[in-house]
Amino acid sequence: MTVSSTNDLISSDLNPLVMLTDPYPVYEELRELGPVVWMKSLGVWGVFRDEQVREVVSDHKRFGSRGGGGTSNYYFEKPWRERSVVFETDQPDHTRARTIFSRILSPLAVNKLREKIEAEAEQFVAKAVAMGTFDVIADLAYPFPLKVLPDAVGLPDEGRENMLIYNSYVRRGRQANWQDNWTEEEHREGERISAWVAERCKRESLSKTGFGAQFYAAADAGEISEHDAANMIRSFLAAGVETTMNGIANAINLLASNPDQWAALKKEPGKARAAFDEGLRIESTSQFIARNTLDSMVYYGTPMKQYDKIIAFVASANRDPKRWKDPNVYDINRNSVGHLTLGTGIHGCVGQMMARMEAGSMIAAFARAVDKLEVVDPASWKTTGTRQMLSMKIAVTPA
Amino acid sequence: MQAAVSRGLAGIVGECGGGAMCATCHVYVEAGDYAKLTSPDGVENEMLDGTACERKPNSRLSCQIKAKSELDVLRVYFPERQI
Repeated sequence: MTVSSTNDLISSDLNPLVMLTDPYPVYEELRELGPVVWMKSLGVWGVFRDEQVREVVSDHKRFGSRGGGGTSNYYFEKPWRERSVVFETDQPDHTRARTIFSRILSPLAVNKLREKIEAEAEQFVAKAVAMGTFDVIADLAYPFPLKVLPDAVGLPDEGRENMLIYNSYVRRGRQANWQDNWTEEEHREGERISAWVAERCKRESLSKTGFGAQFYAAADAGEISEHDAANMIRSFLAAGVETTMNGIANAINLLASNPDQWAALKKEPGKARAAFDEGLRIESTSQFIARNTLDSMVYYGTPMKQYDKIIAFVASANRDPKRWKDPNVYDINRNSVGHLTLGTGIHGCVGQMMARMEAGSMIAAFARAVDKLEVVDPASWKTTGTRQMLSMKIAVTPA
Repeated sequence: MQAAVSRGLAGIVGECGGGAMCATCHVYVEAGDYAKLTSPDGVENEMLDGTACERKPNSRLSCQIKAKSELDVLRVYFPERQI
C-alpha cells in the first residue's frame, strides 16, 4: 500500500518542525493524507489525527520515550545532554522516577501552595493593571511563573532567566544532527548554560524546604541516587516554567480575542481553570510529542522499523473534528477534558496541577481586576522552533 | 471515568483526562463490587491521599478502573466535591 508522505510544512531549510504563524490549516491537510505520514525531509513518521496521536502518546508498550523528545534519535545519536530519567526513559526505570514525581507534586502538595500562589497572582495582576496598557508576555505571563515555580523548587533569585535560554538549547539539542548544525559559539554557550543549570540543581544550591529538597530526601531514603535527584530537578525546571508562561499568555490572548468568552468568564470567575484548559487544547504550547517504536511493527498498514521516530502532533489532534465539535472555536464552557497538550498515559504531564494552580490563580485574579480589555497590538509569534507568543499589548480598564 | 465524562455526569471532573494526576475523578466503590477490582498501584495510591473529600477504604480513582466484561456492573458513589 502507498504510504502517505509529505515534504512541506514539517520540513525545513532552517529548523526541523518549523512552526508557522498559523499551523492549523496545514495540520488539516496533513490529517487528510492518512493515519500515518512519512515526513520525507526529516526521516521520521508523523501522526496528526486524534485517534493515532492518542495511541502513540499513551501506548507505552509499543511506543517508547527513550529515543528522545525530538527528531534526534538517541538510539543512533548522542543526546545533547544526559537523558532525563523521567521524560526520556521507558519502564521499568521510568516508573521509579515517575512515582517520586507524583508524590512530590501531588494535588495535596500543590494545594499547600495555593494561598501563596493566589496572593502572588493578585500582586502581578495589580501591577500590570495599574500600567493601563501593558504587554501580556513581558508584564504578566512571563514574570509570574518565573517567580512561582523556581521559588517552589527552592532556587535562588538571580539568573532565573537562564532557565529560558537553557530551554532553547534543550529544544535545539533534540533536533537531528545537532552536533553538526551548531556553531562553535553555540556549542560553548550551550555548555555554559548547561553547567549553570546543573549547578542550580545541586542539593547545596537549593533551599531546605522546597520541592528540590524533597527530591534529595528521596535520595537520602535510598529511593533514587543523588545524581538522579539532580536530573529530576533539572527536568522539572525545564518543563515547568516556560510552558506555563505560554499557557497563560495563550489564554489571555484567547480571552481578549473572543469577547463572548471574556464575558462568560467575567460572569463566572470559577471558570478560570476551564479557560486555561480550553486554551491548552486550542493552542498547545508544545505542538508535538515524540516517541519511537520499540520493535518493528505495522501501524495502520504502514511498516515501521525498530526504533523509528514517530512524532505525534498533539496540536493537530486537538483540532481534529472527529474528536472535537467546532474544534477551532475557543469555548470555555465546552468540556475540554481529554485534550492531548499535556500528553496522557504514564508520561502525561506530572506537573500539571502546579501549572493549573498558577494559571487558574492568574486568570481568576485577572478576571476580578479587569472590567474591559482591548487588544492594542495583536499577538506576534515565533516562526521557528516552537509555537510561542513573543509579545502582545492590551489596554485594560480596572474593575 | 470515561463513561461518566462522556455522559456529562457532573460528579466526575477528571481534570487531567484520566492520567492519575489530578485526583478529581474520585469515587467510592460499592462494597460488594470493590472486591472485583485489582488493587490501586503506587501512583494511584499516592493520588488517593490528595482527594478533595475523605479517602475511605473503598476509594478509587475512576480513571484507573478499566472497564472489562467480567466487571459487568460496577456501582460507585460520587463524593460531594472533586475540587
